[in-house]
This record gives sequence, C-alpha cells and structure tokens, in this order.
Amino acid sequence: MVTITEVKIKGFRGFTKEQGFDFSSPVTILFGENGKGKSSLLNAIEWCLFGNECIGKNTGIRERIDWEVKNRNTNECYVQVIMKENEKEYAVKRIWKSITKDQLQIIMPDGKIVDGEEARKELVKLTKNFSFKDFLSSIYQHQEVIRFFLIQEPKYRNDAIDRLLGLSEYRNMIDGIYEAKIKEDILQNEIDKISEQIKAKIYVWQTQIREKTEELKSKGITEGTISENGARDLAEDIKNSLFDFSQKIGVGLSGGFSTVDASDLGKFIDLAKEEITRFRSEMPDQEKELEIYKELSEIEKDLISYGNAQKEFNEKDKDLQEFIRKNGKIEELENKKTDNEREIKERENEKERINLLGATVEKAIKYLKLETVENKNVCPVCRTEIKGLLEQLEKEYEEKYKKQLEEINKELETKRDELKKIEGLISEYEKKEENRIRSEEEFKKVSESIKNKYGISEREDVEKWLDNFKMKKEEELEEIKKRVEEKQKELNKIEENIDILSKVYEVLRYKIQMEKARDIERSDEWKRLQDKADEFKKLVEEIKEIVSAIKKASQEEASDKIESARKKISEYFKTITKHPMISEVKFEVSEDPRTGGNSYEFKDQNRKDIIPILSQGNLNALALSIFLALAETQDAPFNFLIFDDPSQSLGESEKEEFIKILNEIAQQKNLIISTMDNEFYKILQDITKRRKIYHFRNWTPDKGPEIEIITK
Amino acid sequence: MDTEVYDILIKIYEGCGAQIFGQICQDLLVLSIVETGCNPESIEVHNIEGVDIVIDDSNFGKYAIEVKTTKGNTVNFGRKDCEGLRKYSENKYEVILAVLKIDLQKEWIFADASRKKIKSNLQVNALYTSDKYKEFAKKVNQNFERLVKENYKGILEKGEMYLREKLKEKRIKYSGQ
Repeated sequence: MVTITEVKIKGFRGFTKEQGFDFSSPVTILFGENGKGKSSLLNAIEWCLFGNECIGKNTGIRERIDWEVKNRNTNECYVQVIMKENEKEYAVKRIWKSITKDQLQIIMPDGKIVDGEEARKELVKLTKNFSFKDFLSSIYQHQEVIRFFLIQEPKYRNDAIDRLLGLSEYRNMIDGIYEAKIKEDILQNEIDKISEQIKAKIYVWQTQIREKTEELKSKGITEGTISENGARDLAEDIKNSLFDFSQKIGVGLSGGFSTVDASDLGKFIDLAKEEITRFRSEMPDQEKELEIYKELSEIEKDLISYGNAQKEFNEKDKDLQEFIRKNGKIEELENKKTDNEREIKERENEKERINLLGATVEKAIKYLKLETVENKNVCPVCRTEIKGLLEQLEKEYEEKYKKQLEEINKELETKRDELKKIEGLISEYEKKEENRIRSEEEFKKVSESIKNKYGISEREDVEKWLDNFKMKKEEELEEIKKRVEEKQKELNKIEENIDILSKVYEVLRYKIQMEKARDIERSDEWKRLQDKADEFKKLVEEIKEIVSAIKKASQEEASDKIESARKKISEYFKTITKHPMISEVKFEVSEDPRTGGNSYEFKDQNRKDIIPILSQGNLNALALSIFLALAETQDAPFNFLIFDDPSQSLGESEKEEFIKILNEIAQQKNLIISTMDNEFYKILQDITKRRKIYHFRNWTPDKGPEIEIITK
Repeated sequence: MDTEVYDILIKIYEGCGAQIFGQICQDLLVLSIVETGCNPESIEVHNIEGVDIVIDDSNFGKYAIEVKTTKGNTVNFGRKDCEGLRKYSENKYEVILAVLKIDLQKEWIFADASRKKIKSNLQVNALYTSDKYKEFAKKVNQNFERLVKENYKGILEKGEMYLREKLKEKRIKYSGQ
C-alpha cells in the first residue's frame, strides 16, 4: 500500500514560492477559511498523480473546466509527492510545461531518476493502474460530489452518485455520443432533399412533355413524329421544302443552312427560321411589289401637284373674270377714270369763277359795312347809287354765290370719291391679272415637267394620262401581290412545320434532360451514396446498441459496487445520523426509463423512499457513508484518504459520530482532512490525538498561502 | 419511385382512402414478390389479424413481413406487430418490416425487424434495407413499379377486389375481408 509522506509545491494554482507539507502523521488537518489555499494543496496531490486526467470536463467536476494549473505570478510550476511503499521511497514530481503538456519525473528508491514514458510506467506500477475516477470515488472525497448530492433534483443526484461510484466515465461517454447528435436520418434527409429537387424537375419536365405532346397531337402530329427519327425526317422535309422554294424564287440557300446537319435540331431550327425571314424579304416579286408601290406613290404625288397647279390657275382666272364681270374691263375703267378727272376739272374751274365774283361782292359788303362809309347805297366798284344796296348785296351773296359754291363743293367731293374708287379697282385688276399670269406659268411648268417625266405628248390630257397609268400599275401590283401571297403561304406552311419541329425538339430536349436527371439516381455514385446512408443508419443503430451496452455496464458496475458496500453504507449512515425512522438503508440502482441511465434509490427497512424525509445534513451523511463504504470495500493501492470539507450541513452530533468513524479509519489509513468548519475542527482536534495541523491563515497573490503549523 | 408511379399511387390513395390504399399496396407487394420467383402457393396474406405476409418456400426462404405504408414521415411499429414478428423469428423466419412512403424519393424499404423496438413514430428515413435484402428489394421495387402501371386502371375501377382476384388466380392464400 502506498502512503504519502510529503508534498512540495511551487507555482501550482494558489501557491507561488516552494512550500512543503508533511503528511506522515495518521491525520493531517488543513484548517482555514475559504480561498486560503487548502484545496490547492489537495488538488496538487491529484495533479501530481494523474496529470491532465484530473483537468477538464471529463472529470465530471464542474470547476475543473478551464482550470488553471500554473499560478499566473510564477514562471515555474511543479508538485512533488513523496510516496512510500514497503519502506521504499519514491519522489514523484510533475513539472508543468504548457496547458497541454507536463513532464513526469520519479526518483526511484535506488536514487535513479526516470522521466517521460518510463516515469509514467513506474507511476502506473506504483498506483496499480488505479484510475482517477477510482481515486475520486474511494480516496478523495470531493466537495462538489457532496454539493450535488445535496441537490434534490433526481437527475443531478443520480449524476453525483454516478461520480461517487466512479461511473462518470460511462456517463461522459453517453453524453458525448448524445452531444454528437447523431441521428439515423441525417444523411438520408440530405439525400432526399437532393432527390426531391431532381424529382421536382422531372415532374415539371414530364408535365411539359405531356402538354406539348397533347398540343402536337391536336395538330395531327403522330406519335412517330414526336421521336428522334420523326424529328429528323421532319427536318429533312423542311430542308427540301426550303430548297424547292429557293429554286422557285431564284434566291439561293445560305451556306449555313445548306450544310447544317438535320439531326442537329437546335441549330437546324434556328437556321431554318433565318432562311424563312430572309426569303420573305428577298423574294424578287416582293421587291417588284415594293417598286410598284413606290411608282404608285410617285404617280399619286404628280397627280396631286398637277391638280393643285391647275386648281390654282383656275381659281385665279375665275377670280379675274369675276372682277371684270362685276367692274368692267380695264379699258372701261380707264375711260371712267378720264371722264371723272375731266369733270372734276370743269367743276373746279366753275368754282374758281364763282369764287372770284363772290369775293368781290363779299369785299363790297365788308366795305359798305364800314363806319366810315356814309352812303351805303353807292357801289364801291362802279360808283352807282342804288337804294338799299348793302341789303341787296347781302341777299345776292347769300342766295347766289354761297349756295352755288356749296353745291359745287359737294359735287367735287362726290367726283373725287368716285375717282378714288376707280383707281382702287384699277389697282385690284392689275393685281388679279398678275396672279392669274403667275399661276398660269406655274401650271404650265408643272404640266411640262410631268409630261417630260412620263413622255406624255402635247395633245394628251395629263391628268387622264396619269390616271390611266396609275390604274395599270395598280393592276400590275394586284398580280404581284397574289403571287407574293401564294409564296408567303408556302413559306407559312414551311414555317408551321418548323414550329412543329421546334415543339418536337422541345419535347425531345425535355425527355433528354429528364433522362439525364433520372440517370443521376440510376448512377453507381448515387447508389453508393444511398448505400452510405444505409451504412450510416446501421452505424447509428450500432452506436445506439453501444450506448445500451455502456448503460448496462454502468448499471452492472454500479450494482456490484453497491452490493459490496451496501451493508457498510447502511451502518455508517445509522452511526452518523442515528435517524429515528431509518434502521436500514437499502441502496438500489435501476434504469432510468427516461434517459436510460442509472437511477438510484435509497429505501428504508420498509422499502420506502427515504430521500423525501432526509435533511441536508442527512443527505451529506448519506454521501459520506457511500464514500466511506466504497473506500473501505474497494481494493485501492493507496493507504490514505482525502476529505475536502466533509462536514457540510452536518449537525454537531453528526460531526462527532463522523469523526469517531474517521478515528477508526485512521487506525488503518492516513487521513488528510481539509475543513473551514470551526466546530468540526474543534471536535476533530479534541478527538484525534495523532495529528498534524496546518492552519491556512492568509493568502496573497504574490506570496500564496501563509501557513502555520499547530503543534499542540 | 418513378413520377408516373407516384402519380398513380396518389390517385389510388385519393380514390380509396388510407386504409384500402394500404391493402392495395400490400397486395401489389405480394404480387411483386411472386414475380421475383417465390412460389405463390407458399405465401399467406393476412389482411386483418397477424403478420401481413408470411412466406414459407423451401427454395425462396421463410419470411414474415409486416407491411407499413404512409404519406407522412413516420410509421407505427406497435406491440402487436413486434410480438407477431417475434413469434415468427422464434420459428426461424426472417422478420422484415416493409415500409413504403408515398413519396417521389422513396421506394419499398425492407428493414431487418429482428432488433426493432416498439415505437409509435418510427422515422421512415431512419430505416434502411438490410444488405441481405438489397438484391431482393431491387427486384421487388422494379416489379412493383411495373405492376402499379399495369394494374392501376383495374384498381381504380374495381378497388382492392381487383387485386384480390389476381391473388386468387395465383393461388395465394388470403385471409381477411
């Protein structure tokens, strides 16, 4: 049996400088408050013996995830455990190198230093291949196991008991498998998704093929034509038809179409369509038709310009004639004008004469009216005396000269108006005549130009000639149109066949695509993929069987361990708790129907579940009882036990009873007990005589734990 | 399965309903098995009670086949099915769970039922044709597709009685309605 006599630590977790501990006493007590380095010391022993096995998730200890081994304030980290077996001393030293690497070194009893793989083998030999999980279940009573044990949730308690029994590896294996989330149908589902896409396409193509085939059949196309050979024959027909047509119209086939292979349907159809378009535009009759259209348009234009010029001339002529009819000829107007002028002259002379006489009379009247003239009856011109001469002259002037003058003025005004009017008419005449001449010239010009253009003789009526010519051209056009229409019909017929061929080609193309898609699922690769999916399903089935086997093994091992320790568990529990209602604890394991894992039950002498009536202290006592029983019944190579804060929730009397048990065990094995519980520590000091106490007083990041050795 | 076969099966399903459709598929499966070379007289078809298809052919082998058809993703492999097959397994029959999901992506799966556990929602995609039945499955599926195409008009006209007559003609023992 191996015992630990001494431990040296440097730079491990809470430790900085090298510190040494003597564990040769039957009982070593590590006392101090939380966070002072007690657990670091216990962990150092674990790490030295098991290295990275005691780190990480697989340990089943939550706090070991992301656990830092090396103290951040030191460069060096190692733990040396001096172990004794049959008086031979082994100095096992583990030196930290990196997060994933460490170095193991052992100074053998003969002083030889071994390291690396050799050291590992020596350690395995020394510890009898005792695993870390066994160490946790029967050597090192870990705080966390008890903490979880105290939780009422069955799932966590089952988990904690698994760990207490050293079965966490089984649980980890199962959890690992479950976490991989391997499902039989994953691969099959993926294959199905691909297949679904392929089938969806096939389905669409099939529908298209059906619809297009029906459409073709409705046009009288036989099943035979809707085939590769049928399509090729149809293409040959089209090719021949286009050749015949090209001969007929005298336009050659294009080089591309002449050489295209009729079985290359896609290309053939495109080129055939191009040929049709080309023939439609290059057909000679078609060109002639266009030419006539152009001619007709020209005739129409000439007819219009001739008609317009003629109309213009006629209008101007008519306008002039109308003017003459209304106002007389120009000679008449000229005569009228001369007469009028002469009459005005005569009137003006007359007016002048009257004016002279009138002026004399007027002057005589003015003279006679003068104050200075005494005899108003003597004529100032002829010196004749006439009684009442002034009154006579005034009357004569008023009645004879003034009235006459007024009449002449009136006449003159009328004559002048008449003259003005005649002059206007003459000017209007001249303008109209000029317009007529101009339009006549224009008409002659247009007429000459048309005659020259078409070679119309002088004797012929231009308009009539053009109308006849137009009619002839229209008849010619009708003839050509008929011919073009017939040819277009022929082309339409060929085009219809091309259209049918296109549809047949489309059907064939869909069929080819469909077959290609079908070939994917017929291919060896696809079959191999499906086989892989089946293999995968088989593998998952086998994994499930493995999980069942792991569960079964876990249950069997649990059952064996419980069986061997059952009596002791019951005894320890009774001793520690002295529970008045429980005289026997029956510890049983069965399969959890929900998870398939281990489900643990604790029943009393009447087979009633005791968990609901247990206090926290009782539950801790139960956990300690299981640990103690397992420690006692398991064949461990170590002659020591480690307790980390074992008194959680225990009552004073329970602590006393527990320490009594520890005292008994201390007769056989060395005990290392870490506690922060003052009451427990005090009882422990009083009861346990052969002990060494390390009081963890203080802890600083630079210096690590400050430890006092209590000697009394 | 072929899209044409799929369309036909859907038509039959919609025309006959799920239960009759299941029986029709089962009868078509039996006829497909016969065409793979099994002596029809060695086949018993149980439509109501017991394992669906039982074959005891000295040349072909001894098989007990539980047939399931579905339009969904799961089939129910109940206690009755499980126990029925177990009894045959004890009498040296090979026990098979034949599953057809009416889906373009699927065809008959012949799963080894000897280790199948009772499950009310057995995932079709978790099932696979055991290696030993792969060749058999290939032939049966080919025959099945052909038989569906050949017989669907008769099935749509006369329903399951049409296939019943076919089974009778081949002297296949039939129990049930």
